[in-house]
Amino acid sequence: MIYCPNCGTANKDGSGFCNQCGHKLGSGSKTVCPSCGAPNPIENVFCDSCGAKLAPLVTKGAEEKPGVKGLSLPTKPLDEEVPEETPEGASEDVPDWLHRLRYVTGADQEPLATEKPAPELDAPMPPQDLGGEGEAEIPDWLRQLRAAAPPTEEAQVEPPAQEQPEGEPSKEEPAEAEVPEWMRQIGAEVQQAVAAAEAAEVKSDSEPVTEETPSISPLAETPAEPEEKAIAEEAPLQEPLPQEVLPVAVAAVALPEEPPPGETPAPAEAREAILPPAVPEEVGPPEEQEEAPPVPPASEEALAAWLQEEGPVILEAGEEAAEGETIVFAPEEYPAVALPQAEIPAWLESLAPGGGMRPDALGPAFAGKLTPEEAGLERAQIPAWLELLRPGRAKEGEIPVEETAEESGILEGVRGALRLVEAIDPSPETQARAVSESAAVTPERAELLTRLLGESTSSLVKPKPIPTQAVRERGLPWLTALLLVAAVVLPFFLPGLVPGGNTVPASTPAEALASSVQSLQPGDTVLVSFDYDPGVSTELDWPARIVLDDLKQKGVNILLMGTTPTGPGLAARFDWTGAQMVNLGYLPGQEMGLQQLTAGITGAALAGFGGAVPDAPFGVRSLSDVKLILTVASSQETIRWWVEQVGTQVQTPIAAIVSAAIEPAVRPYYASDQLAGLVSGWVGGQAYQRGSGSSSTENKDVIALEAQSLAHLVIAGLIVLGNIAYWGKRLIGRQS
Amino acid sequence: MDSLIDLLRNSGTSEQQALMLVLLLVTLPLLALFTMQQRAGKPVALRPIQAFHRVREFIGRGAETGRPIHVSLGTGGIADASTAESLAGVTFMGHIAGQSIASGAPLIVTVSDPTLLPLAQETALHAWESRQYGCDAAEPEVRLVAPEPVAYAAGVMDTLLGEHVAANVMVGKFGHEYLLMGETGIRTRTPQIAGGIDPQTLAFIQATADEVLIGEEIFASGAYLNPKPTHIASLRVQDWLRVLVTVVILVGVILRSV
Amino acid sequence: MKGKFGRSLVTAITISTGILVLVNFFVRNDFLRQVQKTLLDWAIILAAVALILGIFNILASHARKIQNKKSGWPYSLFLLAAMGTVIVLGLADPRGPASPSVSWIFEYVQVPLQATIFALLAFFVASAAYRAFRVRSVDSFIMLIVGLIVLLGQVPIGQAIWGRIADAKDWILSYPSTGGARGIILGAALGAVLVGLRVLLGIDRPHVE
Repeated sequence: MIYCPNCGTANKDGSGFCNQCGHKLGSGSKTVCPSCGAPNPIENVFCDSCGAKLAPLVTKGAEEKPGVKGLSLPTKPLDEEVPEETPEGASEDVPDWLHRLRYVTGADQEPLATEKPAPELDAPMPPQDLGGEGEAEIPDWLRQLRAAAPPTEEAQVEPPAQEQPEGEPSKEEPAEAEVPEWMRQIGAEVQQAVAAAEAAEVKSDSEPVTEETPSISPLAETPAEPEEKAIAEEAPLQEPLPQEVLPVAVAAVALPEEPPPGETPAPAEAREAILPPAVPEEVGPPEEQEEAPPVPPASEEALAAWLQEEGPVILEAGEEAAEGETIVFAPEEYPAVALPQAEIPAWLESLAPGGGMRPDALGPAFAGKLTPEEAGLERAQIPAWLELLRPGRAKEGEIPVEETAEESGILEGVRGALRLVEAIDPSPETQARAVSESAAVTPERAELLTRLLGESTSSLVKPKPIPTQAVRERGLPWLTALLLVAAVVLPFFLPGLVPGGNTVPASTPAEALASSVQSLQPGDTVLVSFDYDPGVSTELDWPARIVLDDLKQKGVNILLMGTTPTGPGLAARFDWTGAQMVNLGYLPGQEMGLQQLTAGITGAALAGFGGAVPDAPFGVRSLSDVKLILTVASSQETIRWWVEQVGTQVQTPIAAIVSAAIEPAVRPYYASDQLAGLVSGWVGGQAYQRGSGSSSTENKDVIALEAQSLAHLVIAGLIVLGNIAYWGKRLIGRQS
Repeated sequence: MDSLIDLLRNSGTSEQQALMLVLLLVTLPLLALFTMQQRAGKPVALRPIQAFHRVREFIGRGAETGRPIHVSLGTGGIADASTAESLAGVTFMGHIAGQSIASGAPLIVTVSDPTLLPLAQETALHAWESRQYGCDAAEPEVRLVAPEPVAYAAGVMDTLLGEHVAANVMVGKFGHEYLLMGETGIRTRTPQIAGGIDPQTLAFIQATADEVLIGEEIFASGAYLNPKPTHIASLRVQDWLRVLVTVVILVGVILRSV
Repeated sequence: MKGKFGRSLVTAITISTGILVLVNFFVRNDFLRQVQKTLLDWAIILAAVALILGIFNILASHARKIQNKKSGWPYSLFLLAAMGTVIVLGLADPRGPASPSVSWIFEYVQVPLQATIFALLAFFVASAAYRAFRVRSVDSFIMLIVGLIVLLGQVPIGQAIWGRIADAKDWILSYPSTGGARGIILGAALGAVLVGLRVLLGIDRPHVE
């Protein structure tokens, strides 16, 4: 059904215009299913085709937002697309740098994918990794070890750009993050060392670096010298790292080019292997590169010298590291490389299991180590694009985000995390503030809700209908009723109002019944069956009485019965004074009962009416002894029962008095000579009277016919009026 | 034809018996054959009948609103010629009962003939007792309204007006009293599905119901809603018999005319 | 009946009685005819018993409505009171429904009430005609013309409008209308035959759950 958007009237599917008001029913009156696209009536909540809800409660974007409690930092800005390549075992929710962190700490035991290089164990891991681009690749700081150093004036870490447009990530941030200032300083120092080494002799022994080196931190504003560190032995690798993921320097150290067995490779050769291949400068802000002084190319001997001093020592198999040296790693396949023991910066120590920041910051895996503040780390400035993602950013008067440690989730123990959870699970202060704000409104709403719940549904006020719709809905039935009542009542006051109102149309079937009745002789028996409901008694009583009066006048014997429980009672209402009449009562079983009746009247289950059924009323034992069977019926099926069950078994003619409504269905029985006569309704009754030669002169009969005529005329007029109204509204709708 | 009729009379067989015998001899083998074919998986394309499709929507409407679904089985019973229509209505009601109970929509079933009451009750209760564990649907209510058709219509009108049903389904034997119920559904803006085999009642049904089941379509509810091989085979047999009857009529007309 | 045996028993009874009645239709045998008559008598008795069950169902349904004070419960109370009154009066007199009191109730209460409700059909028909005879296509236009001819052809005023309207009405009712109705009846009859056969052969068992 299509419901009109104007008046709400239900219209059949496919209707182009409303039946009631003529409003156009187009696609606007349908709701398109968001799932399958099928059109649905407006009032539908669920799609008729696929069952999907037509009005989703939440937007698609909202459903996709992460709901992980404790997630503070997204791996990337929400505007950026998720890279397709993620480390194997790393979920989409876990950023790469975090995944590597977990791997290092042993939390993530799954091996890294070979497609993406493993995290560089020697590479300093910034606590805030702002991007996932190229992190697994050789960092630029390592490349720069082979290249000229950038100028020292650029050692200052530039603060992140604050004026980025909303939602757009700073494209310079990843570059800066990948090349922290301290790393640039390494390059600068390398260059200086290269220059110094040129003039110096190559030392054969390397001395452990004893001097203290400042803590290295990409977050530090003052650059610090990079130091090569040793990874604690407490974090053994589950399986050896493939060579291709090794840092270049380490790889070169680990696998010298075919050293002869038993021979220690020449320091120069070893150091040559250590030397990273010269690579052109690729990374670094153009400004820095432009301003950087030209870096002299590294020479093997110069580089080797400082590396000799501070570089790692390759240990032979079974050789133990000297005091103060720490074995970097000692996989079975690779010779051990001993690095001078250097002071490991705090942030780097945090990568080691059992070291690092406070437990409440990094979790139980990092207990007993320096806090970031103690290690000289300073909180990095959150870039603007990340700042925008802070949920419930502190506006004026709002409670700022707390810097508490995460209590659960993958960032358990991390402090200073952005509390997205604040939006989902607000803090008590936020809640208290919200409560205080709504305090003024809540009592009113609570009172309203209480009142609504207390009211019974019957007292609910129905929405006021649209005035035109109300007039139409109430006015039309009243108009119809008034017209019909007028049609019935007017002839009483204005007889002759209807032209030709007392002209009875000819009816051959009715006249045939009249002939059949006229042919009866006194003493003949007629079986009359009252098979109609009391509801149609007003229509069928009158023609039935006319025929029965004729039968009484003829002096025939009348047997009454009924195939409905109310039939005998209806028959008893007639005036049987002076008539030879026996009421056989109700015959149950409908057509089965009629079938039994054909076997004999006494064999049928006739109950009698007011007394027992006599054995052979009027000498009749079977239907063959009856001269005429007359059924007064209001349903076509009753006629069918009589014709099929009785008419095929006995030769007695069957006639019918039926309601005018079923005349079209019963007429074929007369046309096929299965019925001897047929009277339908009041008009048929009057036609019977004309056929029997006793036209009624009673005024009420004429009035009844006129009233019926007027009523038919009113209905025809309503049909025409309905079409005029429908088409009129349609034309008006088109014009407007 | 006349010689055939004489032959029958001589053998003591009436025309009615002969026709019935022919019908049975044609129908039973066809039914067996098509049932075997359907069990073997022969695909059959059934034309869409919108009424069966929209029943699901009506049940969903009842589940959403919590208002009951009303099913009327008409004024027929199972002890007379209207047994087939009543059984068709009961089959349809059984499917609706299962779906409404599963979805939590209340169900009200009204009957007029007392002989139909136990069958309707048993069908509805069977659907309710077969509900899944945890289903908190209300027990369906089966009511005998009145044996008289007009009184039955008055009772159904009261149900439609007073109980604010979500949908109205009327399949079975109906007379002119149908219009009283159908118009009431129109006035209360209740979506309606109705079906019958009486052509005069079908005129009223067409004017008042949203979806109509015309004549033999009420007997197809089993094949459409719960397709079993026998139901679909029965539909195919019906199609074949219809064609056969049409051919016989045409041949008879031609023979009579020649 | 529940249980496999119960279902099988009911199905066996259904099939056997159905085949018995069907065979009796073809074969003239006094014994079979007597058996059929007995079965039909039992069916009539069962229908009467079903009526008693229906009375109890009405009692339960309306009593529940009264007890729960659902909307319209006073009408249920009146219905139960009226039903009880007629039953008592009918049982009190040996003439049963032919007793004067019951006949009086039937003639002056039941018949007028039913006639009144049935008279509502006139208004509903007018309302349905107003809505159904909208001209939206060629088919609906033809239906409108035919409806007007049949409507006015039934009454004398139609003759005054058009002298041959009665003949047109007769033709329409005898040929197109009857043809269409017979088509529907044929199809429905075939459907009913198949339903009956399915129940007879135990394929469909709506009475067995």
